[in-house]
This record gives sequence, C-alpha cells and structure tokens, in this order.
Amino acid sequence: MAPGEIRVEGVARRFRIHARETRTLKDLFVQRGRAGAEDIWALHDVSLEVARGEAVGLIGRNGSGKTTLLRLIAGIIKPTTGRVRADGRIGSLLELGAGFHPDFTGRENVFLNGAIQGLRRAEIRDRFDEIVAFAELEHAIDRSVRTYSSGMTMRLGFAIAAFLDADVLLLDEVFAVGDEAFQRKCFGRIFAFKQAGGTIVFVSHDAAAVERLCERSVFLERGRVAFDGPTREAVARYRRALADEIDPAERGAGLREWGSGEATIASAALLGSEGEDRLQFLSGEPFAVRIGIDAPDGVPPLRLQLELRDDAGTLVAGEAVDLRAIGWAAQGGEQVVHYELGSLPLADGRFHLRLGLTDESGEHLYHWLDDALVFIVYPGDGERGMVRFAGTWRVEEKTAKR
Amino acid sequence: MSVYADVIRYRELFSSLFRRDLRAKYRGSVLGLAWTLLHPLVLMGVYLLVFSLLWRVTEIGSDDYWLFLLSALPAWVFFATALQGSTRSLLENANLIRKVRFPRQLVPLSIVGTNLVSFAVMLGVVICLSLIVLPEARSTVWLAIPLGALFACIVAGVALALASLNALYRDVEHLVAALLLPWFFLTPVLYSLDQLPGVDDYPAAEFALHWLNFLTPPIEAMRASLFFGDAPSAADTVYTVVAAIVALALGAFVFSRSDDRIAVEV
Repeated sequence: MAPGEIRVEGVARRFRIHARETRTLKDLFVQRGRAGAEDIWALHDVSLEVARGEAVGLIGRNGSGKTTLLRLIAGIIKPTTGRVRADGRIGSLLELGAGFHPDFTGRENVFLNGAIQGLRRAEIRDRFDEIVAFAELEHAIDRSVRTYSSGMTMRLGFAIAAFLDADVLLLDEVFAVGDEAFQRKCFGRIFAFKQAGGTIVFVSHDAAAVERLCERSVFLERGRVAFDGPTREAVARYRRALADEIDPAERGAGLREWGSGEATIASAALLGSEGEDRLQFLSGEPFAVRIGIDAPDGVPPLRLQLELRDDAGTLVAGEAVDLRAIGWAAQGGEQVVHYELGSLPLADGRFHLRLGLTDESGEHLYHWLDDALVFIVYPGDGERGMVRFAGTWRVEEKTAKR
Repeated sequence: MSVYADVIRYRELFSSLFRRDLRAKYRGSVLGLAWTLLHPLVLMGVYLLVFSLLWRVTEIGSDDYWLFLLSALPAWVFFATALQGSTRSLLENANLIRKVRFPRQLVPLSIVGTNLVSFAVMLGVVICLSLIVLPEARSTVWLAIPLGALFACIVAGVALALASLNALYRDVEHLVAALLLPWFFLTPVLYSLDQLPGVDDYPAAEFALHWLNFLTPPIEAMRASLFFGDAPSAADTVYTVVAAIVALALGAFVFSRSDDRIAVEV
C-alpha cells in the first residue's frame, strides 16, 4: 500500500452500552459485567477504498456511524470485525485543540501537541513560525492557553494539524466554529493540501462544505454504506432521506389545513421534466405543480392561491389565479390544474408550498393547506443563496481608439 | 513487550509528556521545577528530625533508626505517589485519547517517570548519607541502584495495569486510595520483619507479610544493602527480579486487552 491510501474491508464495530454511564467493579463481580449491557452496532460490513489524493466526504444523520468510521481510520479504535488499513502519517482534526494543557503557553502546547500528532521536535521547530503566523497568534504565543478565547485555541489547533505534513487528513466538522475569515483560510489550506496530493476524509452535516471539497462521498445510513459515488448524488440521497423522515412527523404534528370545505384541494404533486412525481429539483430544471380540485356544482367561481416559503417561513413568492380565467368549467367533480415553469428560479434549499382555495373576492376560504408540499432544490454550478437569477454576462466591446 | 518498546520508539513524545507532567505539577509555583528535588528532601528532613532527635527508636538494635527508615521510605513514597497519579492519568487525558491516535500507555508511564525522578533523588541522598554514617555498608550500598531499577519496573507494570483498569472501572482509583494506608503498615518500612515481636508467635503472618506482599522483598533487599551493609538475600533478590518481570508482563497484558476499550470508555 502506498502512503495516503486507505482501505476499509468489511468492517463492523460494536459498542457495548451500559445502563449506567460508567461501570463499577461491583458490576464486574456481581453481574459478570453483562447484565444491563446492550450491544450497539455502529457500523455493519462497511467497505471503502480511498486512493491517494482523493477527497471523500462522509455524510449521514447523527448516529449513522460517520465519526466511528473516522476514528477507525485514525486508528483510535479498532474494528470488531474486518480490517482497516491506512498508510502514511495520518493527521486527525477530530477536535481542534484536543489535548491542549490550559496552564501551558501556546508555544509549549505547539510542541506538546505536535509530538502527540507524531512530529519530531526538530520538525516542529522548523515549522513553528509558520504555525504561529497561520494561527495569527504572534502576540499571544507566550501566554498560557487558559487566557485564550475559544477561537484562538481552535486556530492554534488547526494550524498545528495543517502543518503536520500528513499523507491523510481526517476532518470532523471542524469548520462549524470560528469566524468566517478564518474558515475561508482553513479551507484554503485544506485545498492546498489536496492539490499537493494529500488524501482527505471529511465528515460533515454541511452538505455545501462537502460539495466544495469532495468529488466523491459516502452516504451512511444506520451504519451501512447506503451510497458511494459522486457527491451530488450522495447529497441528493441524504437530503431525500432527511425529507422522508421529517415529512411524516410534520404531517403528524397537526394537519395544518382549514377552511369551510365546500370545495377542496384533493391532491397536489410536483412534477419533473418527464412528468414524473418528484420532491427534489436541480436549480434551473423544468418544474410543474399539479393540483387536483374537487368542487361540487353550485360553488361560486374559485380562486387558487399559491405560496412558496423557505424553511424559516419567509415568503419567497406568492401567486393567485382565478380559475375561470384559465378555462375552469363549472361542473361537479374533480378537475386538475397545472402550474408550469420552464426553469425553476430557485437556487438552494428546502421550500414549502402552501395552497389555498377561496372565492374570487378572496374573502371566503374554502380550503387552505399549509405545507401541501415540501421540496428540495440543489444548486447548480456556482450558485448560492435562495434564488436563481440566471442572468447573462457580457463584455462590452472595446470602442476603437484613435 | 512492544507496549514498553514504544517508549523508546516514541521517545520524543514520551519526553514531551514527561516534561509536561513534570512541569504541570508545579506550574505557577515560584520555585517551579526545584520542587521536584525539594519535596522529597523536605519529607526526608522531617523524618530525620523526628526520628533522630525527638523519638529515638532503639528496637532495631541501632541508634540510627532515622537512616533505617530512610533506607525504605523512598521506595514506598515512589510506589504510592506513582500509583495514585497514574491510576487517574488516562481519565485526565480523555479528550486527547478520544481524539488522537498515539501510544496511550505513554500517559501513565510518563507519570511513573516523573515520580521516578523524585525516587532517584531520594535514593541518591540516602546512598550519600549511608556512605557518611555507616562505613560498614560502603561496599554494598551500590546494590541499591540495580534494585531500585527493578523496583521501578514493578511500579511501572502495576501502574499501567491499574491505569487501564481504572479507565474501565472507575472505582479502581478509590480502591487504590483506600488500600495504600493499610498497605503502608503491612510493608516493612517503619519496622523490620525479623524484629517484630509478634512474628515468633505467628510464623504464618510473617510468611504472608514477606512473600504475599510483593513490596516486601525489594524493600528488604534495598535496606540490606543501604543500612545493614549486607548483600541482599538470594530469595529476596530472585523474588524481586521475578516480580519485576511479572509486573511488566501483567501491565502489558492488561493494557493490550483493554487498549481498544480505553478509547471508548474514558
């Protein structure tokens, strides 16, 4: 195996969870240490190969086994069955500043932490100035770490790991903290590491961060590899799994629909470009809403209202249409209405579609559905934010100068 | 044995941890590292004062009870402090152990190392005092050095085993704290086994004190060379060598068996 390669072969890991947080000797002697213990398999039959220079993301919900897998690769724990091999120097940024001694100065902690991460004193001495400069702690390096802010501690922790000259870098949610400027700097450093041929395994809940860094991702679900492939696809599956799990809960939390009920919205669905039912869209894809309306004879002319809100409840767009105006025939029974967009003008996020049915004055409410549909939009290349502008760029032609 | 070979392989890390433990102990004190030397010297000074000037014990058949005491005291102090410190050491470094891969046995062994420094200082002082006060011990005094090294192996093995067990069962440290005082009185530090008035009536008790307490043979052997000017008895010497090997093997065995669980349970 070359340095920088990682091979995980059929790995499973069991944790024995005890009824009480810590065990005492009494448990050992009285109950033989077994009673009240429960086995939890954090990983089942996980196989994974990472080539040198590859950046692989690990995504999944809490408790899906991401961190366990990372600790196995780091060699902190061993697999219950199977084999984990990782060659070369492994830098683990599982927690920034782990093992700093508060009573020691920053300088002393750099040497101590570097030694724990596997650096020799001479190597640390060579890099010391770079580390301190990167952490922006020139003024405080001889003060004890006790006086540091949490941001300063983190910066120093990251700087040490970043200058390890590792073959493999294991990152666990390390960008969750710190100010934005420093986060950018960390990312830059990690990119440089990747460009130089380093291997990266990156655990995060933040799908956008994973997408920026990794071409390939592994989606873990309850300790199994549910998907291993392009990050975009892995993220899509992850979000689908999240949506699947959240929706029933939200529906169960109260129907969130009301109205007098003379006419009702009988069905609602989102359609993709081929007319298939979908809840995930790429920014800029064709997008359609299909709404079934059940109105008996004699109901006054109807108006259909449509509201699009983001997760926080902010109104993104709202529209209403008099059904008469689009050719609604006032006859009994269910009729289907389509709302179509050639290109979805949303960029990134989770959106909620609310539907309402009123009379034409808007005063009488027949039926209102909060969260009729929840869907997710993934950004295309280089898109950020909530809305897709889809503008065009051009360079103004040079006016000829004499 | 790779458990101990790692100390050599990762000697830079070991020396970093060692320095940290040494300095962390006296951090913020004015005298700092000097306490490493002062602490054992003050302790010995107190015993010297009490037992040579104030309370003259004559049961041992010599006026130099203070030196009799000092010939066994360093070993006991080393054993007790190293054990108390190292038993908790893995838990105290939990955040490191959970997050970084490194040879974890270095943590308790480094605590043993810092206490070994005090032991060496005290032993050095006792050797000097013995050379000055007891001309008859001049030729045997040096034997205390290899005996002390063997004793350090015993302490290291036991400390590693207890530190590993305490990571899994938290009451090991309380057990150690509770046992150390009775253990002190069951170890011939204040007295010598053959001068105990009661042992003639209870030979079984003497046998138990001598051979079931693995501290007795090495301490008796050190005292023989430091105070009585005798070569240590063959039985005590062999026992000490075997105890050192067994303790190291036991420490390595317990640690290797629990190494993986330590990272999960600390």
